[in-house]
Amino acid sequence: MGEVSIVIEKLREAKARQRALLWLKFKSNKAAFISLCILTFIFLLAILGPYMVPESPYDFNLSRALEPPSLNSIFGRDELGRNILSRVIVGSRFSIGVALLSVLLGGCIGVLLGLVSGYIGGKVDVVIQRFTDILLAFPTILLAIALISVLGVGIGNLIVSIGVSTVPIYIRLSRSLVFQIRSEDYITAAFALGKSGRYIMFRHVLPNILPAIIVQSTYYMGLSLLLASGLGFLGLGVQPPIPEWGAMIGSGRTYIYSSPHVIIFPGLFILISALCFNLTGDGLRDALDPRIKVMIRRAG
Amino acid sequence: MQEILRIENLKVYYYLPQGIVKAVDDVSFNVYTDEVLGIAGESGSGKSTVAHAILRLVKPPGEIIGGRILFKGRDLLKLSEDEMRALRGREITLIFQDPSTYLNPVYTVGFQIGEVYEAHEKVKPKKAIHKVVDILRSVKIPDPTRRIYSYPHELSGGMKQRILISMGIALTPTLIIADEPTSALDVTIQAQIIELLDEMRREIRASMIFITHDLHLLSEISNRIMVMYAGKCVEIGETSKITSDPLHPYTKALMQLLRYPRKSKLQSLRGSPPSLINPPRGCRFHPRCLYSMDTCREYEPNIVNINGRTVSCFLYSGRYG
Repeated sequence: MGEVSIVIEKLREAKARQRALLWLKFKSNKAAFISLCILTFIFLLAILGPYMVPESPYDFNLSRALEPPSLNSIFGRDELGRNILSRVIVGSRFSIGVALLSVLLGGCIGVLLGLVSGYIGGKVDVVIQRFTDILLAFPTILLAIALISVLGVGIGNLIVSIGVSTVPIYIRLSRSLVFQIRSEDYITAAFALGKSGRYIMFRHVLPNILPAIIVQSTYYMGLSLLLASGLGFLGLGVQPPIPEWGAMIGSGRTYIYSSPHVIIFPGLFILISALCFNLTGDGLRDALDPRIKVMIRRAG
Repeated sequence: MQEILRIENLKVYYYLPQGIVKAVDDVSFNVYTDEVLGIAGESGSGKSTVAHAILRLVKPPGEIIGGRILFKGRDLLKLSEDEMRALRGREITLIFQDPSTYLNPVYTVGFQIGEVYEAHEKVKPKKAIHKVVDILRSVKIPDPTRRIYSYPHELSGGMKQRILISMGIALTPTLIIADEPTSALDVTIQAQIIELLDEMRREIRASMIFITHDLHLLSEISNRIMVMYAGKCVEIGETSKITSDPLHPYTKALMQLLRYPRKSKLQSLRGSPPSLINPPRGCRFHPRCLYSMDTCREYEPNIVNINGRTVSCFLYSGRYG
């Protein structure tokens, strides 16, 4: 068994080698690398934020309402005199968290359905695709609004409604990726070696479409973030007093001319994070494999 | 000699918008234990389709519409999908043409060989690792303990074909179908791979169907040769007889080409292979045949047996029906 453990060790080395190469390629793309650094910073804020804010994001002080940025509060104060820096930092947890969880949820459901639809085909495909057509007939934001009105507001429901409204795009994407992989020779070979359909679907088709799905998910993180903020702005997302970037803009919009700092800072964070997600996605796509570019383009 | 595979009146049609392609039309042959049957023919003559049909790998729009495929007495066309799956990779294996596209790029080769054991013996690929190393050693891959963690793109074509062969023989099948296993490799590697394949086959005492367009190659490794033309079997016979005394005009023409390979002028068979959607009436070879007669244009020739050889031509049957 000594030989076996050495071999497993070497397998691990080979995988590390692959990863090092990937990282090298990713780093050479400056915009993507900087974006990833910024995202890492924002993620750290989301995780550590509540423990490092200068003052509580919930303490209000009406005498200092709408105070412009100063050394005391570098992002200024909002209409209730709350420190905007604290609110933006704590808000990152909600904005990024909602985006991340909804992408995970939508991605898991969508990829599973797309995989089944594309691989099994036939009647299953028809049913899933007509279901997708129905979902796609609604603009994504409208679908999310409709879902949240039915489910009721709340963070959990927000995640579900954003997740579900991105399911159809995942289904379409993964289905067309499956079509490209399904006709590959190594799938025929796996079949000829006596492997079952389900095994081939999850162990051979899925890993091959996964890089493209991950790249697209990075873009959808930006999309989900915008959706969450949009719903927050409309008052359908995270409810006050919880600081969420979109909700902060929503409640500050009446002061847009007199005290623009109330909406500029949360707006800036939305803009930067969404942009960084997209640029990171571009970098990932280029680094992972030149073929993925073609795959995603073909998949539409 | 015992019969391991018997194919009777196999018909595989492809239903395309342009019409029905009769890729394999009424082909019958058999394979004995421990023998190598070579199938020769031009591109599009249906040789690969026969191979895929045996494992029931024909995909839509293609369909096996008739005939029987008896493997050890069991009709493969009547088995359930599960029973068929148990045969694939264990009893009958297929070794493909282009090794570079038949390996999954996201897994190491060791894992992929391990999967064969996993699929049939229900062991985890990591548990099968010593078996994988053994099998790689037997297909003469240098330094197998290192090679098993290579990804397909890190290996040469010859190496990948050795990997595919190892997957094909891993569970000691009784029938190996090699579908032009060397056509994607360069000439210097071809001989090694063929030799290896034949050696492995002898070792596990399997029969082999070897498909190629290279008659010269077949004459060296096969016991019997079947020549296909436009979806039909035109002649089957022992290798020595086929090469020294071909009966069918098509085989004759092929042998003619083989015999004078180094003539200054590049030789080719006159005419081109027929469309399989609208094959010529009568014998499918008659438009290119040097001996064609009136009957050839009207009727399809029967299969005739002459001294243990099978040929499908009016020159030998003398009558039609």
